[in-house]
Amino acid sequence: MRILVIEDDASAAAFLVKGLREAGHAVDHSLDGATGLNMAEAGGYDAFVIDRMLPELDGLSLLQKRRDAGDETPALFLSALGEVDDRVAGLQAGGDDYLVKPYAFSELLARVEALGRRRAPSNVTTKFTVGDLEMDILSRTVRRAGKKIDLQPREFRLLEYLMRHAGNVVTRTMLLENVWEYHFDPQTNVIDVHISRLRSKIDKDFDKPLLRTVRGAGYKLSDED
Amino acid sequence: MAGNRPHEQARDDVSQDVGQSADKWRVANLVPRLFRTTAFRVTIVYMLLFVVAVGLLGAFIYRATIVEQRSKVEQELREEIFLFHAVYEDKGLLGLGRFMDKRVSLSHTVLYYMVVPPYGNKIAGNLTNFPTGDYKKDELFEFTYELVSRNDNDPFGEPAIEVRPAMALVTRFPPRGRQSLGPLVLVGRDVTDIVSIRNAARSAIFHVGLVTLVLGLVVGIASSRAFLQRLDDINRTASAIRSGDLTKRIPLSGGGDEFDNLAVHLNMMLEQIERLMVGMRQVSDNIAHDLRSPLTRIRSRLDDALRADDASQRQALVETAEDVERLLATFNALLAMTRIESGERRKGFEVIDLGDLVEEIAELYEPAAEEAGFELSCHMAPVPPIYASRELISQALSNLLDNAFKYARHENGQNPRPKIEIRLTPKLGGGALLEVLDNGPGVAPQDRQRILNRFVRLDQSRTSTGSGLGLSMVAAVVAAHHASLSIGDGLARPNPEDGEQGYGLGVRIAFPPAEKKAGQLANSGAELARGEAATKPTHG
Repeated sequence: MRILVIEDDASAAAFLVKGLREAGHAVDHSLDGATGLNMAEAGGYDAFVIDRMLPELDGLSLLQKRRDAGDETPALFLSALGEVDDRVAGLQAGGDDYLVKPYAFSELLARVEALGRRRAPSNVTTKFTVGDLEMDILSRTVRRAGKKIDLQPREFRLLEYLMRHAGNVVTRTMLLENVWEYHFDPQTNVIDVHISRLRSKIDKDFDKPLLRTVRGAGYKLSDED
Repeated sequence: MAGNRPHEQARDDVSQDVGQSADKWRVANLVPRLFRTTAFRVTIVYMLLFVVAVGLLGAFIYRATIVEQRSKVEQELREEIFLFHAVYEDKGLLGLGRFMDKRVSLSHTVLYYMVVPPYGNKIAGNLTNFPTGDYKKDELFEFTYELVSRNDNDPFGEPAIEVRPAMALVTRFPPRGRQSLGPLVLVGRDVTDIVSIRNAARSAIFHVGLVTLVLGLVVGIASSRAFLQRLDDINRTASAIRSGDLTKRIPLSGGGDEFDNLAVHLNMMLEQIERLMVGMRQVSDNIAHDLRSPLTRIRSRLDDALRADDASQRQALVETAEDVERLLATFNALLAMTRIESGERRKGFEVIDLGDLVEEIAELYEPAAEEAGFELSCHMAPVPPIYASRELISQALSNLLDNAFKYARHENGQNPRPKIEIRLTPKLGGGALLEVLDNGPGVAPQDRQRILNRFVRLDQSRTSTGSGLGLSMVAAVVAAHHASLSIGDGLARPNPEDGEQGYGLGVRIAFPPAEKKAGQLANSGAELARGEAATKPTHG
């Protein structure tokens, strides 16, 4: 992916850029809002990572300008402001995701990659396939190797989210936010247990595991080895 | 000598000086301050209105008495002149003179004077001199004359001379015969009675006006002084607080007036501020405690790692990353709690059904409970809807479950059959009661009250893993909802080894029912009871 990072904290930005490049992305970087806006206008990016508080032009206005100009590039806000209102303001300005500082890099990477995926027209598809695992949203059925698998409604939503982001790492926080709609992290490993239940239904009787744990990051549904 | 003075005394002097200068300042500024007060201004306006009203009343009375009288007098005099004129036409100058003299002898109050030009000598009448001063012909004018009265018992003694007011009309009759100019006739009347009434009326109006003015000023000053005194109370409290004494409160007069009302509200605000300040202090203490020890741990681990081999370094890095992760969790929890504590806004609050919320959270935790060997059960009765933040309540409930998982788990032979029970029941008098009960070690009764205090945590929870802020956060959420929290006995503990029947921890949160307006949530039980009658349970 080509990613534009607009972040005024030079060392945080350097770390971010390095991490994203190591993950195989092409990254451009700007230290202030005005330059960032110019670079964004030049186009060609798959995702923006924008700090909310920037010199010259703040992050919200910057993205608002791009959205007004019809730019639909998915954007993730980074911010030290983490209240519900701040999140809402970020989403209203056209942001697609919102990450509160300080964050773990693995969390940011997973979310940025999920953004790139969001761009694909998967939102309107009603059928997903990962390897021999198939999901039909309309009939609410899941089959693996042609065999029907019964899922609880929540398990179905969990799998649906994983399938929409197949091939990408999905963090526990992302699952909590998107599948359960909670914006806090329980101390108990509730998500892990849900995942292992789901895994026992879709992977247990089959040779090739599809739902994998990515150490220190989260989970990944993938057919690759 | 001053150099030998002990420090304390010197300090006392200084503070006295300050006090005196403050007093001087107060006295010197009292008068202008009085005039600037709203109470004084209002009084002045009312006083002026009163004075105007008194003036109008006076003018009316004056007109009704004096002006009427005056025109009556004028009418009388004109009739007299008319009569004289007729006599003059008929009998001539001499006839008029005789007629005049006859009328004079009949009345004490009439005054006549007739002159014939060009000589100007008096022909008839009882006035000795023609009045000096300006007058216009045929117009009523006032003058004074000297009344000479003799004592009846002493006809040859000195006559008494009295200066009396009079009104008169002067007119010139047309000439008769060969005269080129007719006689000048003055017809007047003694007006002592009218003038005395007039003077009395004038002085009455003046005095009433003056009294109104003075009374208004006195009342104005008095009321504005009272006003200022109450304000000074408030100002004194404010400056005491500004200089750091957060415990100061505004004294109440006890009269229940609007100032007391204001003072009560300000005192409540001060209480809130003090509570927040104390809270902040405790937060920073907690931060110091909770962040310093892991930071110290990280520091020493890094020091060790610098001297160690590659494999140990890597291990140290992994452990440090975990420590930092925990630090961040603590930090975030503290921040979130401070935000909830501050209670500055209740955004995201809506009327919600606790039943749905509890079911969702239970669904989230159920697999984890099963895996950890817990028996997690929900007992839910339909409850009235409450006004709450879904996010915050979910978080509080999640914290309580995390806590129960942490302390009630089966470990080291303890608690072989761990249980957690969530109960939701309608509260007597409206609202809902949410209980999270476990059969873990529980909390000793002497610690239960402490646990409810803001930001206070039990030592045992402080030392265990996790941010350890769970219950404090719950307390903050409960406070933000104007709900009440109690810590008590939970489920019976199957621990027959020492023969002592114990109980686990039971956390109970009592929510008031949803009202139409959020602001009424904090109000009295009577309103809450009404709320229950108005809202029907929707949860089935």
